[in-house]
Amino acid sequence: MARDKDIKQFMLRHRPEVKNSGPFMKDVVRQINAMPIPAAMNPERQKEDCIRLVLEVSRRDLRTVRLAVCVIVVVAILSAITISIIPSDLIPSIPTAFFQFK
Amino acid sequence: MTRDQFIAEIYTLQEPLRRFLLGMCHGDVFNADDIAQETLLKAYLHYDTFQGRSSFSTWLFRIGYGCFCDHIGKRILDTESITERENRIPADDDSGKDYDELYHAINGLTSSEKATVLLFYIEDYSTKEIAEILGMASVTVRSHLHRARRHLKKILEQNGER
Repeated sequence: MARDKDIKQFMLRHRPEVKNSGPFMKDVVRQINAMPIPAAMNPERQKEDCIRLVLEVSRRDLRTVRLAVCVIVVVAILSAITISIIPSDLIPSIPTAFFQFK
Repeated sequence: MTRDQFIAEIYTLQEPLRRFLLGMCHGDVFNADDIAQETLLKAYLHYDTFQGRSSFSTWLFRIGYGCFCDHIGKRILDTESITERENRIPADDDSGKDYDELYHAINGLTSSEKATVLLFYIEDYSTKEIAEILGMASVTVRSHLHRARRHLKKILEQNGER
């Protein structure tokens, strides 16, 4: 009874031999060189993609920071107005004294 | 991977690929080399789709098997007669005759069984890798292998191979 090892030996003993690898590859390389470089293999394209990505991220961050600054300024102005109004409402003697002095 | 690295990679893989396709084409060198060339060019043009989930050789063999299946489909539709096809193989090219025993042994198998046997015994791929190459479940590959083994054992016993 033939075993698995015998099958493997038979297959390896009778495996087809590949010839003319040189001319075959020469033809393949010639055709590859005539074709456009795929994006995944183009280092310049990859570099450009990376730069574009970094610029996009920095632009988005700048937009977020600008918005935050605007919100902070508005809140600060509103707070300043509120703080300046509150004392005169809470201590009524101040405006009274002011008018008396006048 | 750059273009030069890709070319260096296919330099080492072209031989096993062509050997596998030669086995699939029953020693028809012209057909096997045509399919191998188509495979390598397709792999180059669609390199963007290689995600690295499997090894590069597995990916390449998968494309090769796909090209072979396309080729078989085209050949069935082709009106080319068998005699015409036989005449196309030059008489001085005895590469097919050298391996008659192998082609005779795998002749009774289906295409996917043939591919399984060639990849498992000659190219040393695991059943998991073969499943990826042929696009089928590992269980199916194992069942193909089981059937092919039974067939090959019978042939070897008939030939008195040991």
